Amino acid sequence: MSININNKLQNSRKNKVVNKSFDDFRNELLVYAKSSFPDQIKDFSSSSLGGMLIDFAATIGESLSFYLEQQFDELDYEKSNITSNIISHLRKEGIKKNSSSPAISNVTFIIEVPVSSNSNIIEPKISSLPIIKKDTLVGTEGGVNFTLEEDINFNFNYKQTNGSFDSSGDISTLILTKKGICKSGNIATENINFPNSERNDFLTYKLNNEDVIEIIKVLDNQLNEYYEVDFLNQDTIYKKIHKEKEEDLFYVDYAAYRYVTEENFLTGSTTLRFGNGSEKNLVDDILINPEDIALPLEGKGYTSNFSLDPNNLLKSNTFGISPKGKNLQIKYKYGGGSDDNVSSGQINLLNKLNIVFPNSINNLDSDTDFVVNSIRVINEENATGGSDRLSIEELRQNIPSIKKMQNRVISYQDLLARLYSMPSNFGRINKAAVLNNEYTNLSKDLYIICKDNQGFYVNASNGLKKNIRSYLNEFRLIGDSYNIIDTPVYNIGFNISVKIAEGFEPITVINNVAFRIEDIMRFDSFQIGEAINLTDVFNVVVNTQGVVSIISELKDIITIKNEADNFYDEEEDEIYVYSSNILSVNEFLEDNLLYPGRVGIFELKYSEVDINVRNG
Amino acid sequence: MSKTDFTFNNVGENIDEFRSKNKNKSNIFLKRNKKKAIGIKLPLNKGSLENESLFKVNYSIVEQIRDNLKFLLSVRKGEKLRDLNFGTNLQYLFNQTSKNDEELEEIAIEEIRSAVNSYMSPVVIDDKNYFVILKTFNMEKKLTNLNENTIYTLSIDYEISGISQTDLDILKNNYRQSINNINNLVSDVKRINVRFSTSR
Repeated sequence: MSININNKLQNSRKNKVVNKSFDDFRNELLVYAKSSFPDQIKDFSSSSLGGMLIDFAATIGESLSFYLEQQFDELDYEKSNITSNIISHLRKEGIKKNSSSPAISNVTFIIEVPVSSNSNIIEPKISSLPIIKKDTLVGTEGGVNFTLEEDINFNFNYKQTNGSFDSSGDISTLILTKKGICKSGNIATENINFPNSERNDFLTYKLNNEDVIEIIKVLDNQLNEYYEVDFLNQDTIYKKIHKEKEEDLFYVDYAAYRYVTEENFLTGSTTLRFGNGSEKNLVDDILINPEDIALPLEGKGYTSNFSLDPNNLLKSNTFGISPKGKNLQIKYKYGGGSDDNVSSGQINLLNKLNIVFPNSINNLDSDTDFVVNSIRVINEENATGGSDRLSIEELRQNIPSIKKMQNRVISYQDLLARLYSMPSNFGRINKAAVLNNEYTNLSKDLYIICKDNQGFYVNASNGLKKNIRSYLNEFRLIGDSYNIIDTPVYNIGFNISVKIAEGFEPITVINNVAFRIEDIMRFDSFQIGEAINLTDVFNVVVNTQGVVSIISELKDIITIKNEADNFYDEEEDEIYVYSSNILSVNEFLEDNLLYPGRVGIFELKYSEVDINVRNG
Repeated sequence: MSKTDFTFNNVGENIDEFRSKNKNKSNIFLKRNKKKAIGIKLPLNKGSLENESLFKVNYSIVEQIRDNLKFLLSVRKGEKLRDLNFGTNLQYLFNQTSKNDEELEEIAIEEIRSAVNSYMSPVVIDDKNYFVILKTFNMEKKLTNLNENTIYTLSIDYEISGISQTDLDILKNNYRQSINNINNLVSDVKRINVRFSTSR
């Protein structure tokens, strides 16, 4: 069989599409010259003019290749060098802000109130109990301002101690304390007028201060509130209904007036960009008849596939109403940075007080004046979380994690991450877990648990559950449904008999055992459904200095505390209240692991009374 | 003009006419094939011959190497893109006032020797190596008529080794030059002169 060798030879030559280096280009040009012009020129030595011309051509090729490669590199955020291109990558990946972040501190507000004269119980006079409103300014002597982020209502959930005594020795005032979250930063207000003659549809306004932490409120002269959205075609926002003694209730609402913020990553300045719509269409936008969408199909005996954008389904003016011809008032907070991470005790100045007395008929009586003058603030913990503006390079390092982010809940991890990162004004949950529903595959059980102001587990309020529902509803898939359920809390106690070695003080050893159990076992970090390993408890006790052995049987060292164990300690004047949930240790102890039923969480509530260690 | 009046005289020649015109040039095709260009001729001129393209070219290795040597000596260091050591500093050297002629000559010899060793030993043309061997060096100094400038003339004698028999034949036949040491395949001694006009 004959083979056509020519075809094989033709295919064997490999053409390089792009050379990169000078030598690559020079060699390729030499091959080309030798094969194409063998009779016209042969001398391409380094000392010849021909060689120099080849060098020139190769240099141009190398330069072009360099710029081509550079342009390709600029398309990749990891290799990009030009700052403006890196910023484009950052914006494309969804990084919008680069302002310094504020420090956060749990500041204790201390007030002194008169004692009620109408009651036999020592309690504060109701009309003197204030609400210290959000936006109250506290600060340090060094000039760092902190703003109260939430109302502090002294009508409930406060800590009370005795204040002063009158001449007859009776308690005349009480000291009440309550904590509130404060964020560092200053508040500024700017007014801007957009004339009617303004041509640009998407009007913008650059704020005068850099490092804007948040836009608090944007109002026009007709008292329309403008809402910040991620994109101008996002037409819904969460709106808050304030409810006394409960978490604020959120619901989804249409945001006709809206804006986006654009931040300059280099200077830290913030620009507000508004929509371009006309106010005349506003009524139509909201009250449009959904039947209109079906009109194009009427009278046809068939339908074809068509695409639609849910944002345009209402055929509304999807970019929001323009503030053209209006005066706008913009209130915002700016500042922050690592210098704001002040130490405990440094926040001790009350710079601006925003207070109301909801139970007082006259806000200006002598009692309320007394309370106002008595207010003191202190931060018992260090302020944390303040950080400076990131460099462009640091922002670039954030891109990989941002790329993995998604705006929907698919997996269990997504759901838990969403819950834990829920904005604090929706309310806070302490722990959450997701389980399959025992009876149907169509829904999942979302178990949650919260903590009260004393740090004990408590069931979530209805307001918080409604907020979780509203919040998750925006991220869940259409077919997903969750049952939001309170997690059963099981209070535990330990009863351990140990043999103490001779030469050791029994009281010291017993205290050490109790302390080590509480400290090493870290019951606070137990998750929903997590079992207690009794062997670990056993090891902690046995390895305490002075303990020879454990006399108690392993299964007997743990007990479940319940309502029957509630008691009042007269000496300490403290009521010990346990959960009503009961768990059978024998039933749920398996391989020395005690499980909290199918779902539940263990809590060591009062360690000083719940850990009993005996000698012998 | 009628159709019968039309002749093809003005559009070319037929094969008989071509042969009769070139009957004394029986090996014309052979000669054309033999005459292959080596490299670009200096100074640059527009090419006009059949084998030339844009520039006039050299057909001899010896002439090509002579042009390369001229090129090397006349380029200043730093002038050539990507190869900043190519060339010599002779122009700069002859404008220096702090050196006397003896020093100048000594430095110029070293400069030329260094450049030739770096770039012309060997000269690779068509995958063959040729070596430039510097023989003698002479420097003459002459004042211009107005005594404003001094002209230095450098005369450099050199040989080329590695010349093939064919190269030598072409050299002998085409340029009617006397060839020494034919058996050693080394060209006869060549000379190039390089002039520098300075205000020393």
